[in-house]
Amino acid sequence: MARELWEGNQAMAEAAVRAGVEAYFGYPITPQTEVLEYMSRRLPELGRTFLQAESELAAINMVYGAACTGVRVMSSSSSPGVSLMMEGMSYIAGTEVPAVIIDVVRGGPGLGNIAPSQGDYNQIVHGGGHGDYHPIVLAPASVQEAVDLTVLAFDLADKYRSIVIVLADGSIGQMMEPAEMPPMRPLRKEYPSWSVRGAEGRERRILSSIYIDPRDEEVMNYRLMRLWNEIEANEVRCKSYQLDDAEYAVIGFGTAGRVSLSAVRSARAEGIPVGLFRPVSLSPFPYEQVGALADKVKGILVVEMNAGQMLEDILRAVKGRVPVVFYGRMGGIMPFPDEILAEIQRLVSEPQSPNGDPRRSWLQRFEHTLELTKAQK
Amino acid sequence: MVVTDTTQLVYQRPESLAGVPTHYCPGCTHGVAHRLIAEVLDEMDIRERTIGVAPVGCSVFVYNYFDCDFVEAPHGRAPAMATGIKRVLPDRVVFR
Repeated sequence: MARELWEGNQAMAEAAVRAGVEAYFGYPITPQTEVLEYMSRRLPELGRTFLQAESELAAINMVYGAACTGVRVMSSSSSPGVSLMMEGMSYIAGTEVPAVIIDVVRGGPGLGNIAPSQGDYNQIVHGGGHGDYHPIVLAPASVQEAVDLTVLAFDLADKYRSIVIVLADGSIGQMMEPAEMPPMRPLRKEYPSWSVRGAEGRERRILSSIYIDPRDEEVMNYRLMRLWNEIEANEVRCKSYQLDDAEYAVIGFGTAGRVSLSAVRSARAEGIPVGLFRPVSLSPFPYEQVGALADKVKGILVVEMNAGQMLEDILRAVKGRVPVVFYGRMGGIMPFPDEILAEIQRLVSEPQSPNGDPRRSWLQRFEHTLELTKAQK
Repeated sequence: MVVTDTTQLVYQRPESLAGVPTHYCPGCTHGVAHRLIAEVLDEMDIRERTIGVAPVGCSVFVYNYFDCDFVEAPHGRAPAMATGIKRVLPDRVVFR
């Protein structure tokens, strides 16, 4: 299939269509609305289900209901809207039914703004709904990767009866790039053995997240955690760039990783032996791979479009073996490659302690960054 | 003397109700409401293509009492869950 120019949001929507999504329930919110808008035209055209719900709360519970019938189903939203979906996600996890959610992250907290951000990392990767469950989280850094990961999201959701979240940001959602769509897959004809579709010629089935006896609930939790072990063993994904001979490493996911790659190339042109490590699956997180990197390099720079949310996972993997420094932009601001290049130069030229507090030292330097931004305004 | 069996069945559990006692308090009308719905499912012969959506509250365990497919909704979200099911299975009967 030929490469075509696609906007990120529409590309993820079409990728979901190709992957066999039978129903979409959502509520508009910038910078994600084009997913919903595209689905509103495309799904009815194919005789599939599109519904704009009255709220994100309703949308996620419609997803929950449809997921119980064993069809491929999804929703999409952006940060404040995804916050509203968290209760539903916990129920979906507790019922062990598959669903795909796309979060096109914007600046926060609160209403924030509609600019690209990675401020949902903690909410999506480490938290959100109540109880012990882990969603699978995939973070694209280009429109093509957003397409590929959306398709993968449906396959993983079905394989593990799990929630899979594609964690994009406003720039991935809004930018246009050439991308190749996967072939259209046929809709499923046979439905999973657990699906609730009417008890014709069989025993009734009940799908619920209630285990009123705590002993049963513990067994269910144990089952979820064992499954998570399996997912951790099989589904870690990451990308490495120019790391073979690198003495320093930059780590960033999604757009922050992509901007960092430009900085890494500039640094290489200056003769600095630096490479980029980009986690693609944020959950399960590539702890082992980051640990191996820490054994190899002299220092690590973590770049995020938040105040260091993934940084905590990096520190957990590095375990103080090498110095880790942090550079973040917050509130919907994307870093320029030059800013990251300056941080790489600083990492290489100034001695860093492996025991320092990378967030505190970044904040101490941040006054300078704010002055620069003020001058641009 | 000829003994004629005059026993006539005038009342029985609808087929759509599962044969289990409910947990409802004496005097509660939930059980009656369940029975009325079950009678309709029987009369219309739609039990095998019906999906129930249980709410939160005393009837949270309603899925134990019906002999049809059921899901359990979060508090206040049964209409949304039912919508999700009905939209992908428009030929099924969905009740909450």
